[in-house]
Parts: sequence; structure tokens; C-alpha cells
Amino acid sequence: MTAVIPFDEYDDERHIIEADKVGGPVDAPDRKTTFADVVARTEQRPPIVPAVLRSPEGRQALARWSAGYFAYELGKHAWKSPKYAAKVAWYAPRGLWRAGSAVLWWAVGGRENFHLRQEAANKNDPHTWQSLNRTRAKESSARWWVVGVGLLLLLAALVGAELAGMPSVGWWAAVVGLVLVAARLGRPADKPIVDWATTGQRFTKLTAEMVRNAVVALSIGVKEPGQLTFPPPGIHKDGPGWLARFNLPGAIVATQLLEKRDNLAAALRLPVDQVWPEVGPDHPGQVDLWVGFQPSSKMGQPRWSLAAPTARTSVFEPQPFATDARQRPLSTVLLARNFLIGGQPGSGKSYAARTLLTIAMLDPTVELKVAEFKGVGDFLDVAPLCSTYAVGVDDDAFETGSDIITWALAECERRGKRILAAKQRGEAPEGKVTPELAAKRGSGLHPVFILLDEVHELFAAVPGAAAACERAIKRGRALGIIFCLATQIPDKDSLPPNITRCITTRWCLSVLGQVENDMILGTGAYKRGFSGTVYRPGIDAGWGVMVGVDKPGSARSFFPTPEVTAAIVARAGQLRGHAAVGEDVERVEARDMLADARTVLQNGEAGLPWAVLAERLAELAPEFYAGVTAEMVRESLARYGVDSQDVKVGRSNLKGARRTALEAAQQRREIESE
Amino acid sequence: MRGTLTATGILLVVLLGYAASCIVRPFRDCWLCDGKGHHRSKRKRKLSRPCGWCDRTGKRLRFGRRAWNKAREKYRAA
Ligand SMILES: [Zn+2]
Repeated sequence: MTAVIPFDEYDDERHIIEADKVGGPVDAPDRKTTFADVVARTEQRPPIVPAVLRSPEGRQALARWSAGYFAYELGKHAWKSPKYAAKVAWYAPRGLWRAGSAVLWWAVGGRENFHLRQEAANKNDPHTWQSLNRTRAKESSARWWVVGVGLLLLLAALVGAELAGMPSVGWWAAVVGLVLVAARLGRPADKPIVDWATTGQRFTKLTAEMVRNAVVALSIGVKEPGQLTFPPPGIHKDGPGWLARFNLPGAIVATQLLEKRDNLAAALRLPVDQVWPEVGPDHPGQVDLWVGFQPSSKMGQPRWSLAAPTARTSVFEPQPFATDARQRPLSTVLLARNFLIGGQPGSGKSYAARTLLTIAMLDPTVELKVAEFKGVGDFLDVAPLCSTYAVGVDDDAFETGSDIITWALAECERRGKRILAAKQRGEAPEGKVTPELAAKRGSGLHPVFILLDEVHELFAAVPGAAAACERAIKRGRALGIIFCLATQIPDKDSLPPNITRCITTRWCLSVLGQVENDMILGTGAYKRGFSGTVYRPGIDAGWGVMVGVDKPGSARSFFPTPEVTAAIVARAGQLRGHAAVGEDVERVEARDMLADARTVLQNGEAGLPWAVLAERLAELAPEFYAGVTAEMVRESLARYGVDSQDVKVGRSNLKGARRTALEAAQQRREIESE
Repeated sequence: MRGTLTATGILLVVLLGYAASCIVRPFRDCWLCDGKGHHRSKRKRKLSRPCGWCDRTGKRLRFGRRAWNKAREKYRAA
């Protein structure tokens, strides 16, 4: 449609205005599929062999389950056998009678036009009856022969068996078989002899109707049950449970449903730990709802591949350390990661930490340093393999713990130089530790795994340890130093948020509330559906929620028996030649940052900006303050009550520490200590 | 007591057997014409007289079956 405004006679112009086209199709035209489209298709082909049969663990689990199942069934039916015997004794004669009469009835052709003959008799019509009877006699005349020959053959077989010397066992078996067949014939159609009805598990199958009704009941915007669509292959078995993949209607996202996992479980009338929703793979509005056959707390755990007698790991490669709700192993790379494990007492922290330690332990290039401030010796069996080991809540243990951190800081400094040299030689292209460098003898770049259990004790006992630890974690990540911290009190004093922030992989086991949960997993984790509060201490030990891995979600640490644990430690000892890799730490005096800050303040300076203070501290004691930043100094000193104030530098004012504030803080501390 | 029981049992079996036989073979030969349907003539050439008792069929319902049929008709009518 074009509208032409007529030009006037004075102005030789013509305006053509394209009017907006209203109505008509706006969709792109459909076109036929071309070969190019077919070739470019990348649809997922479902695997041919079922997942459970593809892994040795899966096959073993299946075999074990089958053996257990059949043993149970056998026992159950053996227990019920007297009842079965009584039933057989009652039904077998009936069956014999039924079979005999059926053969006779067939032989005389009793069923042949039976009703017609009876009708003729009822009507007193002998002619018809006689003709019908003749037909019957003709039809069945040969049947007696069949019966006779059959009986003769049977007799011949029996005589033959007797002459061939059939053992009495055979005769008994034949009799038992005959009796069983007779009982089968004699039982009423709706009364089986064996009780097949299974008892126990109430939940057997997840149906689309259950899912639809449950999702509608959540009131997240789904109004009609029919609004949910189930893409093929629909609800199917997946591992030890059912997987329902469905699309939520409109713009409803799956996370809305994940937040209401409790409500979903309530609507399905199942325990919470049997219902595992997650975001589906295709789009944010798709839900993968996995419902186990049993609550996960009642399920066993598959075998841990690291428990194999020939296990050997590499911290550069993903290694299994836990399983998810569907019993699939979860793996993580240790290197260039740090780990935080939090949870209340009884949540299984030490075992969770041990699974990670096991990965490190079974890689013989890794140096181990373990400090455990619970004081019960959870890791005592690993002590001979550790270059540094501390246990207890005494000064000695705390000093060792603090020394480990100091050592790590100094090691970072040394490694930084080694990496630089290696990079110049072309051995470390990314400025990072490579597997080759780590394995190379004398490179000084082997991976170090530092485990600090109940680390809040250390941070509370040694001032400055937390800040030093934070620096070590930040610097060590690229230099092959792996920190694993476990704590039960994740509040901001015993576990500074800065430390939490620089640890990427966090595992929140059973915790009491949302605050603790978000302290470990990060703000908003609880609302996004990542919550360790659903787990009960003791009962659900080892269960937790993990973020910072490929697939955030539930993770249950492997929990081997003491014998298996001992075998793993023995295997690690064998790999390592029963000696510790690396050197023990040297006793280093812990630095007092407040005093040091006062020391680096030169005469005539009224104060120093934070950045300058950090530089001076690093010069003063590089082995301890290497890598310290202005921010860290500010936060460390804030704990002593040193405020961030304006400090004059030349003409401008920068934030920093004033001499007066430092001195006041020192005096306060002296007064407090007296 | 025992004798009565045995007698009752035997009677029951016999009755059941008779009932079964009335189902399998509801007809018997007419006793008047010996199952031929007509009376035997004294002179050979002449056609024999048809039997009215069995209505020339030579067969008659057995007593049990007749009684049963009668009872059934009564039941149907009621
Ligand atoms: Zn007659």
C-alpha cells in the first residue's frame, strides 16, 4: 500500500510514503528439510547399552542387588512353603479329577453339539437327538483310539524307564512334578498357589499424573495439569529411580520449582530426600525430576573406584570423591582449586575431607600437610605420609598449623620464581604448574595438599592466621598449592568471608539454618535451592550440597568401611614408598601485623596509605607478607580497632592508617592482655 | 449311624450317576414297540400299525429326564 501525495504545481517533488503493513503472516515461511539440515543435526542419540551396564561399578551393583533379591525371595518362599504344601494337597486331587474327566469327556465327544442335544431332549424330539447323537459318535469315534495309544505310550515310557534303571529320585521328581501340575490344574483361576504379592515399598512408579498434579499444587503459575509436556522418551527408569523430564508452560523457570522442593515432595507424598528436581538440559523452563525408588538416606552407595587395590590418581585429572542422589559418581580436579567443607558436628566433615585427601594421597607426587584441630586423631593413620602433621587444640598444634600457612606463603614466593624460570625455559606456557613440571624431580613445583580440619580453632587461637591463610590460598592456586578447609562454625569471625570468597569449591554438609548455609555456599544459595539444611546430622552424614563443581547439587561423600580405609592408606603408602613427600615446616615466628605496621612507620610520618603500608610490610618480612594487599592490611588491622582514616600524601588525602590509631590500638591490646 | 451314612452316600452317588446318565442319554427305546416305532404285524405282507406310545419314533424320554423337563416347564411358567 502506498499513498501518493500529489505534488503541487510549484514544487517538483513527490513523496512516496510506505504505509505500515498491518495483518498478514509475520512468521517466516516454512521450508522443506534439506539434506544439509539432516547432516547438520546434532540430536542426542540415547546410548544402546543401559547406563548401569556400562560401568564396572554399575554391573557389580546390579549383580549384588540381584543376588540379594533372589536370596530374599528364596527365603521368603521357603518360609511360606508349608502353606504352599497345604494348598497343593488340597488342589492336586481336584486337578487330577478335572484332568481325568476332561479327557473322558473329550473322548466321548461330550462337548460336541452338547447344547443342541439337550435342547432336543428338552423338547422331547428323539429324531433330532438321534441324528445329533450320530454326528457326535462319528466325530469322536477316533478319539478313544487316541486316548488308548496315549495310555499305551505312557505305559511303555514307564516300563522303559524302569528297565533302564531310573533312580528313585527320578520317580520322586516325576511324582512331584505330576502333583504340581495337578495342583496347578486344580486351583481356582484367581487363587495362585504362590503369593506373588510384594509387600513393603509403597512407591513403585512415578506417573505423569502424579507429576502434573504435584506441579499444579505448587502454585508456581501452572494452572492446568495439561500444561506440562513430557518430551520423549517420557518418564522412564534412570538408575535406581524414575526420571521425569518435563517442560513448564510459558515463562516459568525451573528454579522456581527447585525452590519449592519441600512442597513438591509433600505433593508427591514422598520423603524430601527421595525427590530430586534439577534444571533440565534443553532450556531454563525444563525440569529433570528424579524420584528414587527409596529415599537416598536408605540407599547404599556404589563402590568407590579409588578403593581398588591398584588405584592411582592424578590431581590434574577429575577423580571421584562423592556420589549424587542418583548414585552417579561425582568427580573433581584437585589442582588449581581450593575446598571449603562446612557442617555441624556429625555432618561427616572429616570423612568428606578424607575423600579429597584420598585423591591427593593416591597421587604419589603430592605433598601432604594435615593439621587437625579437633584433637581426636581423625587422620592419624595418614600421618606417616604427611610431611607435616599436627593434631590437637594445644599451643603446639596451633603453632604447627600457623607454620604450615607461613610455609605456604613463603613457598608461594619461591614457586613464583621457579614458575617464572620455567616459563622462560618454555616449560610453563601459561605460567601455571603442568603435570610434567609437577612430576619432574627437583622442580620444586610438585602439588601440595594442605588440609586444615576444624580450621576455626586455628583462626581463633592465632591472630593473623586467617589473613595469612587467605593470602596463601589466593597465591597458591596457580602454583600447585591446594587448600582444603573444614569447619563447623562458619560465622564471620571464625571463618572470615574473604577466605570463603576466594575458595571456589564449597561443600555444605548438614547445617542448622539458612545463615550458616549461605556463609558456606555464598549469599542467595539457599534461595536458589542449594541447601544443606535438609540433611540431618548423623543419619545423613556425608550428604551435602556442593557448588563450584561442574554440576552444582547434592553430593554424598564416599564413606568406606575402616578396613577399606586402611587398605587405601596402605596402597598410598606403597605408591609413596612409605615415606612422606616434601619437607617438614620450619618453626617461624608468627608475625604481629600491628607491631610490624608500627615498625615500618618511619620517623616523621603521621600515617601511611594502605597500599604503601602493604608494600613496606612485604619488604620487612617477605616470607610472611609476600602478596599482601592494601585491602588485606586494612581488614587485618581493623580487627585491632585501627580505623581507615585520611592520610595526607603530598597534597591529596588517601585512606590509610594513622600513627595515632596504630599506637592507640597497641595500647588497647596491652591493657586487654593485662 | 455308620450304616445310615454309607447308605446315604451310596444313594447320593447312584442318584448323581442317574442324573448324569439322563443328561448324556436322555432317551430310551419304547417298551411297547421295542424301539421300532410300529407294532409287529401278524401277517407278513401287510404294513404294520404305527406305535402311538412313542409317536412312531421308537424312543421315549427316560423317567428322570421326563420329570426334569416337567419340573423345568413348571418353573418357566411360574
Ligand atoms: Zn413305541
